[in-house]
Amino acid sequence: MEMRLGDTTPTAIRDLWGGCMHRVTSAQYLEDVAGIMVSEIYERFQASLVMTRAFLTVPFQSLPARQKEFARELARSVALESLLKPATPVLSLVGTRGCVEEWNHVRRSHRHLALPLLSESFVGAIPMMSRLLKELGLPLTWDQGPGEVLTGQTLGSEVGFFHIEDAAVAEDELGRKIITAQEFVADYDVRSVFAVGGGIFGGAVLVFILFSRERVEARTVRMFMPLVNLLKAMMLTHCSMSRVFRPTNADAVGRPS
Amino acid sequence: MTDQSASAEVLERLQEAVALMSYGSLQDARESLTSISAEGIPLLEGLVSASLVLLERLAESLASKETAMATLQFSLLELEVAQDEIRKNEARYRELFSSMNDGVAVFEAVEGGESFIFRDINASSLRIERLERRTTIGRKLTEVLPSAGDVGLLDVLRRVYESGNPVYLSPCFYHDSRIKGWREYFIYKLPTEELVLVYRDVSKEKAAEKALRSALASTEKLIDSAPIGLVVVGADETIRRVNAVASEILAAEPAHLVGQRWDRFRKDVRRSSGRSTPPEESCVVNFEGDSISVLVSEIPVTVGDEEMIHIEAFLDLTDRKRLETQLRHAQKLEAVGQLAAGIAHEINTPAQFIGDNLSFLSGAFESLSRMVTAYRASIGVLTASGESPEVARKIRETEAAADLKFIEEQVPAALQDAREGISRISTIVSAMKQFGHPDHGEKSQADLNHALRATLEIARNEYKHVAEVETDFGDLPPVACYVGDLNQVFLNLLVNAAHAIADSPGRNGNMGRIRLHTGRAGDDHVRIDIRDTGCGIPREIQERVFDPFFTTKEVGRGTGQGLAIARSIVVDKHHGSLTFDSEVGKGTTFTIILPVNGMAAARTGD
Repeated sequence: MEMRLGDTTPTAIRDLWGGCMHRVTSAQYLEDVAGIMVSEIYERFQASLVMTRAFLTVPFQSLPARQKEFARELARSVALESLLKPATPVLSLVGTRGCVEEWNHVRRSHRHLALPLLSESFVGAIPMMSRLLKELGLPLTWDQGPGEVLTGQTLGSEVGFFHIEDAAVAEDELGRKIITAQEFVADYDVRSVFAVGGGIFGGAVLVFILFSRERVEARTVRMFMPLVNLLKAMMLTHCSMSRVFRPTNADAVGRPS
Repeated sequence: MTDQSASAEVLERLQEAVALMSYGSLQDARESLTSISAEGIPLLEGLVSASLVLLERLAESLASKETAMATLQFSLLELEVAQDEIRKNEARYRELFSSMNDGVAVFEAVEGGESFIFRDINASSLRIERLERRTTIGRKLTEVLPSAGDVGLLDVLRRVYESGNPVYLSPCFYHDSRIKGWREYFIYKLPTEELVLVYRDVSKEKAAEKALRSALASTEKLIDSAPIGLVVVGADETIRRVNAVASEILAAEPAHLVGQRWDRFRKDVRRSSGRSTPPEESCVVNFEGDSISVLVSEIPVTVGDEEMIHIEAFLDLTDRKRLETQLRHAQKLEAVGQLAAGIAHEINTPAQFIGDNLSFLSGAFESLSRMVTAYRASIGVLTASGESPEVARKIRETEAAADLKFIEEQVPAALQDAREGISRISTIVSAMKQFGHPDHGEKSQADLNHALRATLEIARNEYKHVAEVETDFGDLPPVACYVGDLNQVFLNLLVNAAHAIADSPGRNGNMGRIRLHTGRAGDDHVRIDIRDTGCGIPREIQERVFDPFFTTKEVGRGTGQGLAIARSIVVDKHHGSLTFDSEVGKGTTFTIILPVNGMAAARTGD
C-alpha cells in the first residue's frame, strides 16, 4: 500500500519486508536483491521519493568490466590511478529506482556507477560520501596504506543511518554543502536525504540511499534500519549466492569485497 | 603434485576457509569447504564436515542475531511511537482540559460514593465558579459548592458513581451566597472510578433565550397588530402564517388558513424576481367566496437554508373604494352648489320682470273689468230703450261665447296664483343666494334666524314629503360667523333629519316633524336646536357619527362627511359646540351653541 514517508510506521516497514522477502530468498545475485529492495521501497513511498539507490562495496578486481573501467577512469581523473589496487573497495551502484526513467537502470548510470574508495583524502573530498560512511558506523581506515582499505567491522555487523534533513542547506564541519549536487536538489525539490546500511558479509557494505521531496525526521529514517538486519539474516541462512553482478557477455563475475 | 604437497595445499585451503568464516565471509567459506569436501580426502573429511556444520551454526547464529536486532529495533520504534502517541494524547487532552470553554472537574468518590472530592479542575471551571485551584483541590463538592444538592447535582453524581451510566442534567439555576447562574451538567464515570463533571455556564444563553422570546413575542404582536393583511407564503406556495387583519379579510381563522395554497385566494400570483413588487391593485377571494379588492405587495425573504418565502402584504380597498365614490359624489354636489349661485342670479332677473308684468296685468284687468261693467250697464239701457236691438243681441251673444263671466271670476285668481308663484321663485332664489353667500376670510355679523329660514327653503324638497317643519325662532343678536359655512351645517342637519324620518320604520307614510328652535344661551352664546322624530342613532355608532367618512347611508345618498364637516365648522371655526341627544325610535336633537362674538370663551379656571 502506497503511503507517505511521514506516515510510515514500524508495522508498515514490516509489511514492506514481508512484500519482498520471498523474492529476495530466490534471487541469484546480490544485484537482484538490491533491485528488489529499492523497487519495493520506491513503490511503497513513491508519493515522497524522488529516487532510491543501493550501493555495495565490491573489490576493484571483482567488478564487471564496465564498472571497472568507470572506476579506473575516475581514479585517473584525480591522478590517483596508482592507488587503485585489486582489493580496493569500490562503492558500486547495485540498484536504482526513481521518477526519471534513466534512473531505473543500473547500467545506464553515467555518474555514480562506481566510486573507488582510494584514500581518506579522496573520500573526504566528497562530503556526502564521507558523512555517509562515517554515520553508518563504518569508518574506513587506510592503515595498510593507500588502496588497502579495511572497513571498520570485521563482520560488518553494525547497521547505521545517515540523515540530511534539509538537503538544500545542510553543511559539513568544513562549511561545505553535504549534498553537493544542489542543482539536483533544486530541480527535483529534494528536501531530505537519508540512508541505512551496514556490512552484510565478508566486510562488504550495503547502503540504501533515499532522496525525498518530503522533509523526513530521524525517527522515520530509523524505521528503515531493521530492513538491513533482516536482509542480512535472510542472506546468511537462505541465500546461496556469492555473486554480486549478473554476468553479461562482456563482464567478469564480481565478488563483494 | 605429490600427495603430501596436495594435502598441504588442501590443508592451507581449509585454514583459509576457517579464516573466511572468522572474517564473516561465510559464503566464500562455505564454497571453499564444499570444494575441499568434494575432493574426498579421508583424513580431512571429518574435519571438513565439522567445519561445515560449524559454519551453518555460525550462519544461523548470526542470522538469529540480525533478526533479533531487527525485532528489537522494531519493538523500540513501536514503543517510541506508542509513547509519543501517549504523550501527544496526554498533551492534547491536557490542552483540551485546560483551554476548553466548558468547565471540567474530576472527582474522587469517598464515603462509599456519598461524597465527592475535587481531584482536578480546569481554568474555565475556576472562572465560572470564581474559585481558586489551591482552595478547591482536595475539598468536598458540597464544601466548595454548597447548593450542589439543591440543584440535584449531588444525587446525580451518586447515581452515576453507582450505575456507571452517564447522565445529562438539563439547565438548572445554581445559586449560593457567593455565586449564581444557569448551569448545564454532564456527568460520566472514568475506568479509574473517578467522576468527570463537564458543564457550561448557560446564563447568557438563558438571557438571550429570554430576550429572543420577548423579541419574538413583540414581532408576533407587531405582525398581528399591523393594520394591513400579512400572509407568509412558503416556497411551496402554501400559507405558513397569517395575521389578524389577513384572517379577517380572508374570513377564516389562521389555523384554517395555514397549509392552504395561497393561489387559492389570490389568482394572479406572480413570482418574477427576488425583489419586492410595488403595491398594485388585485383581488383576493376569501373563504366565503367574496371577491375583495386589495392593494398588494410581494416581499421576498430568504430564510434558513436559503429557502425563499414571500410575505404578501395587502390592504383591503373596500372602504377606500366606497370613500372614493362618496368623494366623487361630494365633489359633484360641490360643483352643483357653486353653479346654484349663478343660476339663482340668472333666474332672478326674468322673475323680477315676470312679477312686474303680472302686477301690471292685474291692474289692467281690474280696469278692463270696470269698463266691461260700464258696457253692460249701457247695453241694458240700450235694450230697455228698444233701440238698436240687433246690436244689443250681438253683444250679448259675443259675451256668452267668450264666457266673460268665467273670465272675470277666474283671471284675478290666476294672476294672483302667478304672482304668488313668482314670489315663491324669488324667495327661493333669494334663499339660494343667501345660502350660497361666500365667506371672504373674516367673520361677519349675521342673522341666524334668517339663515335658517333660507336653508329651510333650500332643503324643502328634502323634507316636504316626509315631515312638517315647525319653527320657534327666538330673538337672536347678530352673530359673528361665517354664515355660508353655518348654512351648510344647518342644511346637513336638516337633510339628516329628513332622512332619519324617512328611514323611520314606524312611519307608515305618516308625516314626521322637524322642529327648529333658536334662542340665547346665556349672555354670550346663541343656541340652535334641530329636532326630528326620525329613527334615532343606535348607541353603538353614536361615538363614530362625527368620524370622517362614516355613514350608514347607501352610496349616493350620503358622503359620510356631513357631520364631520359640520362639527369642524362649529367647533374649529366658530369655537362653538355641536352635540346630539338621540333615542332609537323616537328621534334625535342636534344642538349648536355658538359664541355671539365669534371668539373662544376665555378660560376661567381649571
